[in-house]
Amino acid sequence: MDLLKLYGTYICMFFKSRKEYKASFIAGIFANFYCYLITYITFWILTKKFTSIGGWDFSEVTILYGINLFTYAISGTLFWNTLYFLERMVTTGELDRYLVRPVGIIPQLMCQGFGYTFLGQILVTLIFLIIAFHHLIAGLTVLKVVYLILAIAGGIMLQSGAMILVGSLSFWLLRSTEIGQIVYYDIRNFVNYPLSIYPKLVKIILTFVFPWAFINYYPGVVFLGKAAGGTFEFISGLLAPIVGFLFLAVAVTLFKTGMKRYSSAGN
Amino acid sequence: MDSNWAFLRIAFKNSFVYRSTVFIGIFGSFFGILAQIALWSFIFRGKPGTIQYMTVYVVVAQLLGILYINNISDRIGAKVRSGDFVIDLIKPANPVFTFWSTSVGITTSNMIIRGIPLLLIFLPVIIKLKLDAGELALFVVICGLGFVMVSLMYILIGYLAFIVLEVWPFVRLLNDTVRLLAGAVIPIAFFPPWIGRAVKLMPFHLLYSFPIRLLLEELPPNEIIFNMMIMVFWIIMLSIALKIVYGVAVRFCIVQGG
Repeated sequence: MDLLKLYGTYICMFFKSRKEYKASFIAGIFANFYCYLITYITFWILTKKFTSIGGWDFSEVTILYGINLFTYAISGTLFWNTLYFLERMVTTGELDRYLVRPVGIIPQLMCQGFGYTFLGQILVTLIFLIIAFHHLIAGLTVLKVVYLILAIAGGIMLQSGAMILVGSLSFWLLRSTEIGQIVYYDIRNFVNYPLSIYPKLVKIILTFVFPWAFINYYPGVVFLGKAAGGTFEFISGLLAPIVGFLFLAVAVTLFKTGMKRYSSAGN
Repeated sequence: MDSNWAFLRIAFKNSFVYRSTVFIGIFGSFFGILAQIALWSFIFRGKPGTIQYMTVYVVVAQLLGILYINNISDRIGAKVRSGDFVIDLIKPANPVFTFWSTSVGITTSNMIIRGIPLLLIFLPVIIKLKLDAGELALFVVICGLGFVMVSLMYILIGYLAFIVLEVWPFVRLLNDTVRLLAGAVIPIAFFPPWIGRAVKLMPFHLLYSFPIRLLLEELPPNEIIFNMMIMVFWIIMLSIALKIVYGVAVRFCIVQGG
């Protein structure tokens, strides 16, 4: 409760400070809104031309991509500016000042760097998700809605875990965002489309090595009833929220282990 | 001219400083290409000719992206914001040409360290095109015109820093607009007809769709000449706009002292 109050205070302060630069604030949000709107339009053009992608129509691809983007954006507002870019604080020694405050380091960093530009992504995704759900409303059941909420929570935990994990690597490597670019961004791009269109090796990598398929694909299989995926995919979908929780737990443990190695940078 | 050449060389050398960034860039482009090839291979499964067409399309589009996209707007924006812009005014070189030279330097190094490895990786596919020297020369000229067009757009956006705090949102708007409307991700032929017609009225398709189609298809000579004339027209218009914007910016700029 105290953390929520603290976070609220930081957010209020953030909005007050950004009032000074209204045009830049709006432009930042709009740029992200527009960028992802273009991606949704790309999916629309593809599914209009080819009817579906791997058996997934526009509404279904929207849900697939929407879950990935929505969970990424929520995690991004919390962790992207600070924990994903932890290398800056580790290499400059800036992390020192968080050590002397009576609050955990991750909560402090979460409060510190509110990623306002992600609001654009959240907005555009909500618009497209609402449209997609409207098309699928006949097949919605209470159980499915509960599952979707759990899957989204799992997705947020997985994405947050990934951001914390990339940042934590800087305790050992000093530079970690470049690895994050490949492992988290470039490879995660594959899950924007149904995994069924890729060769088996890609599916294995996205399930067992970099588990990004648990963010959206496996939950999508369960939620949309894509039975063609088989039992393995269905069970993976059911386990997705647990995978998200475990991934976050591993990332936080790695962060704490890394903190023990942190020796500041000095001036 | 000598000073511009010096800026070009400095920008070129600077790009090689962070070697790990270079390798990451290559990997990023490679994975991006693989994801797109996988998508098109699935959509056109059973049609090897179309898959080959789309593979070349994706690779060339990625190479054009390396040619066109650079951070020149951010560099200009940073100089305007910090006030360093005024130092450029007292140097014996036109700042616009200085930025332009820097842009050429960055792009040249990008092409060498990111473009050539990609070209080598996908050479077996590209070599099947059996291009003649004339066609290739024309392709290079068109890419050169495209580069001038894009650079002028980036420099114009950079000077927006005189009225806004950050220019990155505008760079992103331009990049994303080009990504879709130029046919960089999806060929314009796949667009619904009414969007395809509208897109042809804009200049962006001349940056990606036109040069790629020149390599992959038999374009009628009058279409090639017409498109090249339109590119020259846009270069002239953007140059005039830049001259006006730059003139106004210099007249009204206020630099914080210290």
